[in-house]
Amino acid sequence: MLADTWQLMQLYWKIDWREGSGQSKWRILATVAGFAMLLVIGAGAAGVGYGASFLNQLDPPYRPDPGIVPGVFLTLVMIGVLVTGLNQAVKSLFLSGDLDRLMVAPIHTRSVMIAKLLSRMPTNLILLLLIAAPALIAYGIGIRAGLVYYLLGGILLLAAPLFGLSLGAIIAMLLVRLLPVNRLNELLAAAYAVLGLTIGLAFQLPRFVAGNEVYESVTVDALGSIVQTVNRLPFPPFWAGRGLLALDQGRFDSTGLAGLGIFLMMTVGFFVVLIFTADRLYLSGWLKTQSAGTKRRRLEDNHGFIGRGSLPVAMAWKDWLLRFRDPRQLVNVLGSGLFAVILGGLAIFRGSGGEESLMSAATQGEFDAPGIFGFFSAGFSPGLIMAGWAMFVGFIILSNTASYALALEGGSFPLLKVAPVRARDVWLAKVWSILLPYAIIFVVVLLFTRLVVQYDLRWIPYAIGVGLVIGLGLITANVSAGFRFANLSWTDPRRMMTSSGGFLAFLLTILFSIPAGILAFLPFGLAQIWPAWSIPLALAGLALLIAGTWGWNLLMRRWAESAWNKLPV
Amino acid sequence: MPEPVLEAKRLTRLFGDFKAVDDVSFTLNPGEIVGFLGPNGAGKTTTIKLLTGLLEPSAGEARIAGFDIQTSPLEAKAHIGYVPDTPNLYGKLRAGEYLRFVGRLYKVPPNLVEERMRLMLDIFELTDVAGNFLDTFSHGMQQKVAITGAFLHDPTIVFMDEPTVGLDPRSARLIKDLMIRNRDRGKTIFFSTHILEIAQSMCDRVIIINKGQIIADARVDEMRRLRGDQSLEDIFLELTGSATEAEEDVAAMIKELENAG
Repeated sequence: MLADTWQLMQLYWKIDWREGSGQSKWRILATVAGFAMLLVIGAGAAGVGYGASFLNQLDPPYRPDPGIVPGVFLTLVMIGVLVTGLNQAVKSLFLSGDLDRLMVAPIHTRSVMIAKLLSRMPTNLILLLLIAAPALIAYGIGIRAGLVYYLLGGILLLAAPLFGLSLGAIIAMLLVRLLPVNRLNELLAAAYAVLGLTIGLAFQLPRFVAGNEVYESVTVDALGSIVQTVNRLPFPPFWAGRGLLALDQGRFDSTGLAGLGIFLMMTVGFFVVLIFTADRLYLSGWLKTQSAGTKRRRLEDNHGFIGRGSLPVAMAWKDWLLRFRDPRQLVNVLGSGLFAVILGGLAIFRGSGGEESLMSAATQGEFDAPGIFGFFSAGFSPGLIMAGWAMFVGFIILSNTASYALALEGGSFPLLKVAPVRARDVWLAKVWSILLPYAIIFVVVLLFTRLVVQYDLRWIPYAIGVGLVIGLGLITANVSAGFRFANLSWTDPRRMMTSSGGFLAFLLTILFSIPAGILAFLPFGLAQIWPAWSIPLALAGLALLIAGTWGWNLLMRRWAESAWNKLPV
Repeated sequence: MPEPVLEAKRLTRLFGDFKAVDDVSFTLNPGEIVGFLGPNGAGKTTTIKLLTGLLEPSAGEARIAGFDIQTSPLEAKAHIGYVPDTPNLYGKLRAGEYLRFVGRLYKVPPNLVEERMRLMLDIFELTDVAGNFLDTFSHGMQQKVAITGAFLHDPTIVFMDEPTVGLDPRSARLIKDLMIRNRDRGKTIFFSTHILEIAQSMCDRVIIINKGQIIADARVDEMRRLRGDQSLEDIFLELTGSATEAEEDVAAMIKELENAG
């Protein structure tokens, strides 16, 4: 059994190595850049670790138990491996292409399971150790720990991922009994995206919601009780942390030996139990995925829009059905939108519209300026800020969707290519399918802001006109970049476009937004100086913007058309 | 003599220095089933992709129903039905939605789409699951949906790349019947296959490609008559130079197994 496991692991490592080493120069460069970033993060983690050592100088009740800090590091490693390991376990244990062959080969299921789980571990382990090890070492330096601390700390760090990995594997094996494995994979990917967004928002929200004074007082008041609660938590990694420091100080007592021993025994024991018992769970789970059936649904009579109307309508309907039915795609769309709405909104209404908010400053007329300076002060008028925000929300929600519009076709792209439709028709259909929801979001958000902020309603038609035209230009840029850099063989919805395509889409967005923004702002600013010419100025500005956007769209459409035949089929 | 449905003239496709398709020329006529045979990597799929407009040729041209696939693609493609070697369908569409979308792409009137779709789904015994997402379908079921989609607009010529792979015997038989009935209606079927028994029993004509070049193009009965009534399999193996090689390889393998045993 061991020989089979080892052989399989070697095979997977070889495949991984070949996949990693045979890449283009850009990919290698990106890997090097990623590694450099990891080193920076590692250095940051070391800073945190060293900084944490100063917590020991605090007075009670703010001083944590010294063993808690390494315990927290171990916990983070475990959670990190559990989170990433769950998805990896589902993919490697149930969705690998080689499982059919392995399951009929004279190899024990246990060998397959262990090889699948452990072969993917080194990458995770290296990533986590690059972050956790510097923190643990720096903390050790900070508290002047001895050699025992580093030796045992290293062993604990190596053992911690096993716990997360085992737990992740068992959860995965149980989940495949409840859900079809492909559906589970989609839901996990969606859950990770939500988790990422939640973490992102969690770091940002307090900054906006609470004023600094309130935030500080809340933090200081709560700190003591939080520290005491954490100190009392019956959590094995915390026992291990305490044990680590106790043994380093030469205390071979219940805290030292038992704390460390229980953690190591639990971790290794859990993995051993997994090896010796879970192979049956794995085999029966895998067999279930092979025979999983779904409820039979007859052909529906309702045609929907998909078979009727024009090509753009059919294609837009089809695309949005695909997005709404795939949780990963849905999170892509809704997640970025949520992020945009919350962050954009809070930036403007910061501190509940308190003194720090841009909105408050604008409505108080702080930016009123005489003569020619009125031109610039117009940029801070509430109407313009709200229109800009509405446009930002609409675009951020749909920018990825626009960039991925063609890649959404995936392996079905040949269907479009052999059909009697032009690249131009498909491009146009994709643009319309994004522009319409953008228009709805933009107008709804803009009108909603009028309920919250009082501004001159006479500018609404101009704002809507300008917002729609600029939105069109931004969407065509992103859709066209998606045509040029589509990854039609995607399996992960976050990689539907090549990374260089994402960067170029961003550049094009900037390239269009700056002149378009200036053109949109020009009549608005000039009208502050010559109010009598407001309407002609607005019309002239809109006409110029439409003409410019028309030229831009032509350019973008031709670029997309030229990419059509270069896409791999 | 009827106008040819397809004319391939000196088609060539290079991938870097490698000539995947090398100066290929042939014509296909209305009302014939033509098998496209060749060893793995011979250039079958690339040729089909060139003929359907999925790939641009490095040289040469292809005309479908008189329209150049490169210069008049819309007119040419309106005559084409295509079944790829792997039925990559939109996983999150229901079978009915997929077929209605295909109908829309080919501008088939909705009532006609409904009529044809229901008929074919019924024949393929998919009506009861046609409301399910396509990613819950087996490979064979997806293949049947792809085939239904290819015939939905009643094309003049249908290109099928390994159409019977993954199908159960009943479905394979249905597809063969579908091909024969369409041939009898004056349609042209051009399909690649490795199953030479199917090619021998169904095809009016076979074209054999090897290393990117056409090495044989003849009616099946004529080809067999000229070769002393040999089976198509023997003819294929002889022409592609793999008959002796295959026999020697098998003999060597058996010997090795016996020695090891």
